[in-house]
Amino acid sequence: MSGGRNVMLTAERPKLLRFVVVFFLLFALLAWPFAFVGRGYRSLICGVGNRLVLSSAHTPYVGRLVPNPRADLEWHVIAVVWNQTTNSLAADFDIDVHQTFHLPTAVFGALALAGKFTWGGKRTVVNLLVAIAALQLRGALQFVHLERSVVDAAHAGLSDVLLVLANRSLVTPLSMAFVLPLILWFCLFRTSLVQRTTAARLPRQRARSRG
Amino acid sequence: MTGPIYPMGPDRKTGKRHHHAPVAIHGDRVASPFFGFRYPLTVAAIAAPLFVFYCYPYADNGVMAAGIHSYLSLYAKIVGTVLSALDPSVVVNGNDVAGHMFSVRIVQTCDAMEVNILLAAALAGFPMPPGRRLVTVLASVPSMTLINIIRLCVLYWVGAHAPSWFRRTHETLAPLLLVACALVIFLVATSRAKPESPKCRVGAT
Repeated sequence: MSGGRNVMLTAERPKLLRFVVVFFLLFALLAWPFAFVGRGYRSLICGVGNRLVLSSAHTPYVGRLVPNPRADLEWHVIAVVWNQTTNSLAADFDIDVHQTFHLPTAVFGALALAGKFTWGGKRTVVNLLVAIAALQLRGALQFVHLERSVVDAAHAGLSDVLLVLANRSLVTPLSMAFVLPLILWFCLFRTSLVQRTTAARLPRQRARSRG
Repeated sequence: MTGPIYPMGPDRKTGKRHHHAPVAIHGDRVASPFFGFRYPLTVAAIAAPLFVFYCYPYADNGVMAAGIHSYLSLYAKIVGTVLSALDPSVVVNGNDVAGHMFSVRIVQTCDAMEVNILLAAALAGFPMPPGRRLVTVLASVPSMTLINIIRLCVLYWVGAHAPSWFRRTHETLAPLLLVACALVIFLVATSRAKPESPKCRVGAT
């Protein structure tokens, strides 16, 4: 037996290489910013966001998501914060739906498809739904942070500090769009992956150990 | 599945444990350093304070804000020094690296600190001897810094010579490759790691 040599980098190398190639191909396909996908995705985000998230906005402010009217910005949503007391626009922000919502989902989808997770019926469906919903929270966090910066300019409370911390550590870094789905995928589908790796390596190790 | 899938414990002849061989099975799970909650919780416990330290909204005129600004200026100087070897027109002014054709500003997320923190936490929490753990953590941080400096130089080059590709490279390709590099460093660093003790290999499920 060759000391601490890791099977994932030696005996499993072809499998790993295949996984990487399939992942990159799938990722390129899923994450490509097709205009029609962008229009559909932002409509979905606006619909769900306005119905679920923004209905509990802080009074007198009301938040609302509207698709960006510019023809070349199919992936962009304008988040509007309206002051009901003065009946005026408090602030508006442009949110890139592709970067915030779609990219992490595409990464997770590519990982899940490339990893060839074994279909486990209800559990798989629940895992996928939980993952997709969790990945959308990053975008929601961004909007809540922007909205709070308008509503509460003082940023005095602990919740504001936590919100800023969460925004700076999870939303602002571009690499988090890849790190979060990777961690989520590993947590949800690790069992089948590691079992397959173990199944492939153990007979070889047993043969080596027996000489 | 109730019984063990691969009942491999210590070698019957030598009594030694096999490296990377699972030693215990819980239900249908093969025990490994990744299973259970111990490893993820350890990584989270290490990473969380580092994230708080780095991302905390410090006062603009405070010592910490000044320290972070100095650190980013140093980062910009390093990037500017590397770039000036390729493009003599590059000048560094504070956090700005400016050339004739393009300029970049090094801000807090440009230093790939989040990837560094997660990688260092993942390696520091990995069950292996303390000495090796220290070496891997100390080696991984400069490696990631070097990769990030290369990333910034490539981004400058793309911005100067293929500006239409800059946004896509900056927001999609570069972070993807950065995370992939961190993953490769993690796999390489842990590939030859011997377990700290047999106990560490069993996840607390």
